[in-house]
Amino acid sequence: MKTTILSACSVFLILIIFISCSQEEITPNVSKSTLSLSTPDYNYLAVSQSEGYLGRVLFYDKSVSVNNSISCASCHNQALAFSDHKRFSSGFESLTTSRNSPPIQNLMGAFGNGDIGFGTTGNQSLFWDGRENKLEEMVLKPITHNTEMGMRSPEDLVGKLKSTSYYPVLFENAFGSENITVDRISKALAGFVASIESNKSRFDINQNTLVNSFSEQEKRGQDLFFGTYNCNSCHNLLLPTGYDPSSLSNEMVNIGLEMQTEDAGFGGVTQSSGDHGKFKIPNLRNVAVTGPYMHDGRFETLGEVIDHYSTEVKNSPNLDPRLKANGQPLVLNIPGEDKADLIAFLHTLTDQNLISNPKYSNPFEEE
Amino acid sequence: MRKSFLLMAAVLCSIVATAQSESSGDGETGDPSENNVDHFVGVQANPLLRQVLSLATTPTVQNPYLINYTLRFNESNLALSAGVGFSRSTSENDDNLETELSQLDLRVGVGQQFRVSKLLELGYSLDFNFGNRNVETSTVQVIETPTTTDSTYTRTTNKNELLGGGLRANILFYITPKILLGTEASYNFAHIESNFNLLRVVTFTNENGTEELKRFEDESSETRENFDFTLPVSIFLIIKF
Repeated sequence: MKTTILSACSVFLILIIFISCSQEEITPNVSKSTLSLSTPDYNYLAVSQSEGYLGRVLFYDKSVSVNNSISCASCHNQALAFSDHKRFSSGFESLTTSRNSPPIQNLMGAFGNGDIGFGTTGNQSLFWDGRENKLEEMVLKPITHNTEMGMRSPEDLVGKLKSTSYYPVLFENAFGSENITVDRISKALAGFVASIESNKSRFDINQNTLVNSFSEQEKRGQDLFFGTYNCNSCHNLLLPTGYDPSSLSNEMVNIGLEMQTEDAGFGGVTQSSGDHGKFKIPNLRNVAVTGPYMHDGRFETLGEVIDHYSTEVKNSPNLDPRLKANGQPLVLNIPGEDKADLIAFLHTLTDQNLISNPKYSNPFEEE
Repeated sequence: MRKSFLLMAAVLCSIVATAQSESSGDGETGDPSENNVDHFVGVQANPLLRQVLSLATTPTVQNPYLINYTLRFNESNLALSAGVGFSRSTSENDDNLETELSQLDLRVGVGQQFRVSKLLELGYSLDFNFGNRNVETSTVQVIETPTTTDSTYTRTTNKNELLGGGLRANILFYITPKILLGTEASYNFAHIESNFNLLRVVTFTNENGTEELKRFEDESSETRENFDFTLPVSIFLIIKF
């Protein structure tokens, strides 16, 4: 009995210490920046210069979140090919998202009627689970997500932007009148996002100019990627999307991360058990700067990703047929030398133009 | 957060010390089967393991009950249990977002717990759960254009109250006669009431220095109900006495 009382007292005493120790008050620092209202002379693939600039301002403006805490760029950093270096990103209340922030590049197939860009036609699935395929609708989803940016509705965002001094000017520049609507926000923001194109990596330049600047190791890696290990069967680098978007089976796949995945992925969208654990094939352009990898950011490095495909693929009824041999998971047993060659080749997919081009950069000059 | 985990470690140490003191007081006659009741005090080890192993990127295990207590009546195997979880933190991120988070979770349960072998105990419980989570954020943003300056102070308060219940199954392994490792799976219904308050105060200053102040307040609430299945991924380090 004495022991019970002592233990209970210990627990409650320390709970009190918990509460008293952790009450720390801090005052937020001021986030100060300047913004030019005149349209810079940058051309955008999907929209006009002024619409592109408006979209760029919206993309980088923390005012788009309910408490002015985060912008789209908080989780989609240009220097990281518009991805995040964190496994899970933080939302407007510092709570983390449930999936890794994917990079943004070559999404023109999901904008408008999808016929812009180099050789891309048809819809592209968006988000890891492919629940959207129209960029104009997709861009509003994180804004109104209750973990990400927290706006109650797109209409609330309209009201908020109207109450600023600078958005009426930017909307007039872009659309000819100060009228701010959901459709205009959506078009400008999606137009900017659709204009983020990656086509100037060393790999792309080699493909387009037939001038091979690869080192011997990079060449070996390329041969392994397209030949021995046939990575290209899923990650089609010859298409700007990075995969073949002509059919969902080529786009949403289960790659054997788990025998039974907790996150249903595409299965949660279709409510079909046959789609459980399927996720969108990521575009490998800029893959060297977009880690951590996979929908849940479980792999820190490219080496860990290759190790997965080498020996760690788990079987399940939904495992992609390209990762099976005789009904069992493919075991590639990739030796260390090949792994190093593959990684060297993957680094050639980094597009310095995308990650440093000022037309995609933050228009707010932070002080 | 590190301070909290250290304190959790202190909880564990004090319990272990108390249990050992009890054990040494009883000499070697402390056969649990001879007691009318057994007490099990458990601390969730996942946060401690993450801290010790620096697994900062490991996803947080969604079991809020950091400390659990079970009283088992050995004659009937009736088990009364209680769990508590509490956290409070204040942080400011790179975007100058200040966040204050406080969370309290309580549960009480009634069920049975059986010793099925020398190394194993199994149990089940009907639980009633209560939870309260508050998140407050505040930011100050100043945007200057060539003609105007917008200075915005924003504060949000998000209060969530949870009431629910469900079934829980647990399994405990004996490491020593007094120290066990346990895990649990549960299926719970939750009724959650959320209340979100927003205060935004904007001061506009034009190039002439004229100031205009706008105050915006909004309140919204929602009720939602859901069913959650919790996988047995939480590891509890348990002291029995």
